[in-house]
Amino acid sequence: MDPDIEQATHELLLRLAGRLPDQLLWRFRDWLGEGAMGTLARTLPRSLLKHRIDLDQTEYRLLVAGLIPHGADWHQVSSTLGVDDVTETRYTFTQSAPEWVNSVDSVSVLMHATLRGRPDVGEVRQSWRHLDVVGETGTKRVLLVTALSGLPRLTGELQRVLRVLGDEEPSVEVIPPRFDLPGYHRAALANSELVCLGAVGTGNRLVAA
Amino acid sequence: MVEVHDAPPMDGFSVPLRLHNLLLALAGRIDDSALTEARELIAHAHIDEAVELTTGTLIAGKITVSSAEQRELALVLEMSRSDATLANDLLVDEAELVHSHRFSGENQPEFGLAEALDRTLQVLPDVRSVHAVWRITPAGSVPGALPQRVVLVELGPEGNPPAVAFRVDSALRRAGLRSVVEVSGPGVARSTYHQSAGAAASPVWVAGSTQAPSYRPEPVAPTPPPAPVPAPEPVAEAAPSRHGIRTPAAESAPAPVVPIVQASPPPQPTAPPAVPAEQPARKSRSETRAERTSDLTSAEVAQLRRALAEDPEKGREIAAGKPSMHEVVELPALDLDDPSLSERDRALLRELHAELAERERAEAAKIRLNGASRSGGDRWNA
Repeated sequence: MDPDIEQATHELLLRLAGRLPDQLLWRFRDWLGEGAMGTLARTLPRSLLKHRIDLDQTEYRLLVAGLIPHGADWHQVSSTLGVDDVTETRYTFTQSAPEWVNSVDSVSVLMHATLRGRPDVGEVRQSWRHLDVVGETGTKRVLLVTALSGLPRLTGELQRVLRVLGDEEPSVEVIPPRFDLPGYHRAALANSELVCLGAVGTGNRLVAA
Repeated sequence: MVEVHDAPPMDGFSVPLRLHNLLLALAGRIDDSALTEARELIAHAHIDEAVELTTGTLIAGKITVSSAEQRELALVLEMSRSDATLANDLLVDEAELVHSHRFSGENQPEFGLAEALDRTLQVLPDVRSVHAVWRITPAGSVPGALPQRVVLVELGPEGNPPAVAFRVDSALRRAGLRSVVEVSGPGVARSTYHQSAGAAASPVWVAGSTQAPSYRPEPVAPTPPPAPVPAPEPVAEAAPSRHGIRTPAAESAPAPVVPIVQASPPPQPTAPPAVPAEQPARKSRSETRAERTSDLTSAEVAQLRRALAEDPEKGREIAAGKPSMHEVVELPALDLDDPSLSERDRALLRELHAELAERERAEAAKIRLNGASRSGGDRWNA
């Protein structure tokens, strides 16, 4: 697969966090991780239209670059370009885990065991996302990872781990270097805690230690 | 296997039902989230999204399908105005892979279900039975947490499988009972997956019905090609029913729902006649004897003829069902043209078969009566 095309689609799916429903987003990211570009090309533009998700110009360029070469319908793709500003995320984030998380957080433990010192992985952090207000309903973990290469595959791998551990619609944000962070990710990082550092951790700090 | 493998008559089904049946065939092969979401989409008339999700999951997961399944997916894609060329990316393999899953009825898979489904099952029409079981093996390329509760719902002809799948799933989610809900209506053969699940499942409840819930392994292979194992064997496997040792779960199920009571498993949908799994051993033996009437070897027939010739009274005993209990009695085929038979032998054979046929009729009538009284009559459909 063309790395530029893959990268473009990965960045687009990153930017859709908090806008496309979680149950679609993780699935599209899984398909990207498996290299199913033709499938994404035929389904993602339609999904955006059905959920009335407008793209800004940067996102639109990513969609064109990533999916037109794989047969996406031009009319559908062009209809996704919005004119108004993208609406801000309706989520808030907190650093501390909700009470219902066991005192032993098996996800953190497993992330630490598999990603600590791993090549191409920078920083691994987590935040807790809440719908509108901080509370137990609708609270879910957001994993934030910086990585240098193989981002879609790493996303897919971490999603599979989280699903086996019980998170049916995992939120795994694997962020490339020099990425202009959307508001969703900035808010999440501002309220996140460090889980572990990969092999390139110190050079890719997302937030001040 | 189910439906689409053998080019089956899906033509009579509506598009949503065709996709629903495809999803039944894919149960255990794609992840449970995809199954559940696709069923919800079908229930909400988003067939295009449902079939795209299903096809995409198969493609990305590199999960093989048969060419019949591929055709069916392409057809549903086309009929739902999706891009039918998506089906070209499917991995087709005609070799019927065995997706063996393991199920467990231990640790009360049915716990809390009757309460959670109370209202739902009062409202939804023609739900015949609900069973639950744990699946302890992962499904699909992106499996969820294990064990996974599988809820098996059997519908009558008035029920709408996709709608029931969604409603039952919603009710269980509201109650915090993570499950994947498999709903089958009449006219669709059970896949190996569903038969295995059904074999270990615990009853949640059944509605009053004379129709036998058919999640138990069927003693006769439902689709060609015929299974290499002798047909009656699955009955023997299902015989040590879990129901007898399980606490009944549906304490509060209201009328018209009839809670399953201990030691009353659904009758087997055998043909003919149906024999409940927990019939006493002697009845099983008598049926076996009847079934084997036409399966005698020539040596056995010869032996019987000799016995008849030596002792006509023994033949009468056999016909009256009072053979010596230590002997396995075999009956010959009614071959009155055999030149080696005397007139007396022929008369005896005729008599024997007439009596045997009468006994079979009586037995079948008795079992039908038992079945009806067990399931509490057809109140649901009244």
